[in-house]
Amino acid sequence: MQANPKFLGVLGDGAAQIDWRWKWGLRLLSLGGMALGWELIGRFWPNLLFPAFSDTVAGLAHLLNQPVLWQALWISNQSLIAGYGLALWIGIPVGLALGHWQRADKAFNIYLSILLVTPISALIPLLISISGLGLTSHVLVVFSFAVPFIVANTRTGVKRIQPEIIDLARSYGATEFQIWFKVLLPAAWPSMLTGLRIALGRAITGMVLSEFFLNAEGLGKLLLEFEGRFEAASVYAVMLIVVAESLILLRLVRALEQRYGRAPNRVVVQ
Amino acid sequence: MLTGCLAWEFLGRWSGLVFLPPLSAVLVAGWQLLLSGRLLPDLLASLTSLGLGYGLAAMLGVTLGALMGRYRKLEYLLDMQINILLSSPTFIYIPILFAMFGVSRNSQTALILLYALPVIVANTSLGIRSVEPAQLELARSFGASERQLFWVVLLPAALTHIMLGLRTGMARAVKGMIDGEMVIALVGLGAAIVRYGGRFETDKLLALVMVVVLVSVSGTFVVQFIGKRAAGWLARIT
Repeated sequence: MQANPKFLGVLGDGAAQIDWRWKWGLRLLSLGGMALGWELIGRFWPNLLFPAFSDTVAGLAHLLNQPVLWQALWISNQSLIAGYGLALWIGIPVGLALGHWQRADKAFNIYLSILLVTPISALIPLLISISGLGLTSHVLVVFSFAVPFIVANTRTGVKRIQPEIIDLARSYGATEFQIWFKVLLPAAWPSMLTGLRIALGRAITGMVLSEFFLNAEGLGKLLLEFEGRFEAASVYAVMLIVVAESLILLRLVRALEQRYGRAPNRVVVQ
Repeated sequence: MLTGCLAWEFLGRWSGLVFLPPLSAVLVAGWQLLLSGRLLPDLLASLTSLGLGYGLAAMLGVTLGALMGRYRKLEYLLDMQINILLSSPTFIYIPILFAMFGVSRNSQTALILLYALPVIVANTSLGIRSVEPAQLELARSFGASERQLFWVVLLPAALTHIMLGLRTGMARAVKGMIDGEMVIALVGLGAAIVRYGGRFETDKLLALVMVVVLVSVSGTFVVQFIGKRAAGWLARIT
């Protein structure tokens, strides 16, 4: 393909593979530019609420040494673990059921679609009136954020299975139980894993929002303390930590997705 | 759907729980809100920010996504930022927006923009990159210029992805609208939801949630409609 003589062509054709040096060089440049911009804005427009990049990094380094941070992280993540786990425990079977049973699907799919587009945060005041402000409600919030995506993607995964395969399994005398575990689950696995990844992101959002709107216990409490003392650098440092946590967790799930997310070649029927 | 409504009504009346008013009570509360003129100002305020924020996100997002999809170097320049925005809860960037715009409608619009933009960019660039190189080769062999390539080959082929991104972006925009308003808690639907929640007026709360769902669903329809029109226009000018 000829390179376009106009200047845009120098940016490299979208379809072509690009030198890894360019790839990482550009990314580094981009990050460096952001850091520089942040530093300049923070320095030239001194704002009580907006620390410069260097201050934030210093605050971060200091914060990472405080046990308070790690305790807060642990407290907050408890609701993440519990809520996400609950969402998996309930969401996967419901998703499988909706994908497998036509009648249930026809009845409930519309509610699922509505749930997928509603801002779950609008339901938080409702959840507060159900379970108050303690750990239970944190878990409930995380659960509510995660579960629609788990159900939806699992359901899609099951719906993609060719009916002939299920009929084949039945003709071999497979029980319903065996169909669920040996046919539905493995075949829906790739879609399910994608759903799990998306749902984890949503669950983290739920954790953050529950810290804000409910009782601030872990990170939320820490943030409030820093805001109260006008330690803006620490506030932004905590923000960076939360971003880092979600990036790390999602990266992990994506790696799992790539390793184990391939659809099995054969479906074993005994 | 009907059974759901009936079940809601029955459970609501029978259980008498604070958080589960019967459907009829919710609908009545909603109607009263509308009549008393308290609903409309909040709704209008919300929708203005939504329209502005989403509109900007759509225009910026499709442009940026298309450019990123086409030009690798641009993609690598910005993809980390987009990825970070996609992977982290956008909610935590609220303090930054407050620091920049203060507690105002501008920060609300900026928040909606931030919620919607990454999805639109990601889907658009994916769509552009999914166009088969064979098609591009073919167009080039006919002597197509870069500009023609874009409008005649790339955009139409990427249209499904772009539309998906725009629809998802609309859902994200509504979420951004509500999140922002719940935090600022002064005007808008989100603010009203927080108010009624605090007073345990669950019937009004649920009525507003239904309004939000309606906004989300109709917003998606509007996007779909405009998308189809745009696709027709695109087909006609090329």
